[in-house]
Amino acid sequence: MKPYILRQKLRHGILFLTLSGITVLMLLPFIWVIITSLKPESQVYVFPPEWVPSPVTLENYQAVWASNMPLYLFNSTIVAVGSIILTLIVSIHAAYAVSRFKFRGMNVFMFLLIASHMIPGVANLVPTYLLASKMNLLDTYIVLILVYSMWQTPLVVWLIQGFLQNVPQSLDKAAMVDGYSRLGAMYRVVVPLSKPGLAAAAIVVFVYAWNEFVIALTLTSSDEMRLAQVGLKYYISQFGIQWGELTAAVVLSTIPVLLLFILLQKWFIYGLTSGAMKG
Amino acid sequence: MKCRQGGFWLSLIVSASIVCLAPGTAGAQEETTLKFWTFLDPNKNGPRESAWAQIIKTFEDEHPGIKIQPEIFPWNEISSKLIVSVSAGRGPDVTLVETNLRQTLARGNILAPLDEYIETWDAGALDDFYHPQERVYDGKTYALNMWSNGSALFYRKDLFDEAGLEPPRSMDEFTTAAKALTVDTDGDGKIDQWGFAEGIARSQPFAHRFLFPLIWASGETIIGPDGKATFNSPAGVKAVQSFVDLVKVHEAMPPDVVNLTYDERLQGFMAGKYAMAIEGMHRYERTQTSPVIEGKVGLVPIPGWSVDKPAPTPVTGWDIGIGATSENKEAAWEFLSHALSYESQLLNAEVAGQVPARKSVAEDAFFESEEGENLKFILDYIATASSEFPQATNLDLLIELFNLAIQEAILRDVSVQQALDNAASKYNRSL
Repeated sequence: MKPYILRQKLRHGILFLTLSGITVLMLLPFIWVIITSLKPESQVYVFPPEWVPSPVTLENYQAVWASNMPLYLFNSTIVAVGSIILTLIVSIHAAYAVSRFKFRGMNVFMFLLIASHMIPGVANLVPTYLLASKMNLLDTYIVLILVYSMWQTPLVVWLIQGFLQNVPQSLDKAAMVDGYSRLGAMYRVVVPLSKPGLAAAAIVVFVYAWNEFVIALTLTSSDEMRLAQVGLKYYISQFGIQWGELTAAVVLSTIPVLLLFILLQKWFIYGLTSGAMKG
Repeated sequence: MKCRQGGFWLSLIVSASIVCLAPGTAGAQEETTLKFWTFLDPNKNGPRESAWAQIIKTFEDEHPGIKIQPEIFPWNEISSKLIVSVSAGRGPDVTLVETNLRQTLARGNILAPLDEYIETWDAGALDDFYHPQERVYDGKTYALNMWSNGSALFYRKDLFDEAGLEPPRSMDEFTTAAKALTVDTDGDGKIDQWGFAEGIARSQPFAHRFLFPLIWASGETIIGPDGKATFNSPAGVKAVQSFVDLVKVHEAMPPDVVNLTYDERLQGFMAGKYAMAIEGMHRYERTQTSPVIEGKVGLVPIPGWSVDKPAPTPVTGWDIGIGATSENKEAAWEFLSHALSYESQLLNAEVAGQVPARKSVAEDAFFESEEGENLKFILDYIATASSEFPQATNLDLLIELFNLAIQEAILRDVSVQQALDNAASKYNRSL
């Protein structure tokens, strides 16, 4: 074997080992969560900690399943999916306009748009609550979908517009020559070519809506409308933490995010690297 | 004539309508629904939740026109949610109130004053409650205690027996025991079991629950009448120095307490890592879920500076109050009175193991039984020596700065006096 090939293989080997080590380190807390979720409550406190649960039990999962957690997961799914749909509908149009038309003050507009994303959500909490209260939207899916969508729209507009700029404008023009309107060209030509960017944006919105806590807690009050992240908090009581059930609920609440990421993984990475970095 | 007859029928209809529509009349008894904010879900099966379910049921049975609608929030989010909701005019009718925050909520007009309702009670009825004077802000009472959480020294009876030690009554005895129980159990040169631990990590510091009582035991205060910090007094320095010495001089407490949270400390105690811990009685049942220490935990008062005078137990817990925006204050008061009644308080003690708010309840035979043994211990302790945490303008900041001062004294070469002076100065500047 030639020396430079050997050097390259060695370099790759070291890189692989380093990345594997980092991956294991990153996954370690999650692995520990899974292990704890499979232990009976009495084994959680054993010191030194045991890596292999003995006996392995599903009692924590059964308890979580029998609780209202499945309802909370359902609510979170409705809100997250609703937020994705609304955010993408608004953002695609805004991003298309920004990527195709030049207008006075565009840069300032785009700067202000992303600057609004930098305001902490808590700072807007009381006015948001008041507004929702006046509109009789408290404790509904709609208010959460609206707030999450408006919160994520600036970021997603930036994300998508960077990506849309990669789609040649000549394609829009060709579509319009074929008889499509401007919007028709956008829907039928530009949007289908932007799927990786949209997938990346969808995951960003989903993860935000899935993990958000403060707004969900403030704008909802009934058990029927509770989201998963708020539901998880109830396992941490003033009287102690129910580690077994908490970790089982955490594992269950992670599954939808994992599934979505696995399904859209290829597009997500492509979308982030090729879209967001340009523009 | 026709006109006069028409007038008669018209006035009859109007009168009948007024009678039927008037609230509270027998003709059409409207049902009042009270929103009750709590962190204990009456639909769940835990003992505390079951107790609330029974309290609500007996109230609804006695008051057919009033329904209770519990709305459940995480315990440490109720106060912030209250502030947002009441500010928007949509608060609860009745709410549980964290004792440490009741003055903040009263100051912000989040709670309604209760004085006009309390006047309907028998004279002297308030004297049946613990620390009623602590619930007065600006001359008005905004909440009443629902149940108390006292703290005590939890110690491992088995480890004390093996070491031939008696439970400590003073700080000297406490230090001796902590040193004796700090051992390398497997002979690998590393300590496996520490005599004591208390977390002072910034995210969840709790050394104040041990050290404020020591300051009180010296007759000093945490804040003065002007609201400024006084914890940097000689008594404060003495208390904090004893804590720092446990780490740096006696090596009976692990140095990583600077990164240890309150919850992690409890888990360590439940895992057998620590032989002693200062803990709230409301967490006693939780400790007994660990097979490592089940049936092995003893309770004694927090040691003071002398064997005959324990440090006062810090009393926290939950109050109950009426939301300032409630439109059903009379009905809310009915429910509040019911929850505070002798019967409800006894039920809450028997079923949920909660420390009752009424002194008269403590006289019940239940507290002489084996089941009521721990409650009897803490009730006697509260009656003998107890104090509530100060209603500081910003208690969270006060606690954070106090614990950070301890961190500074442990980690850096700063005297305890200097660290506490800095913390007190920072707190006073924030006022």
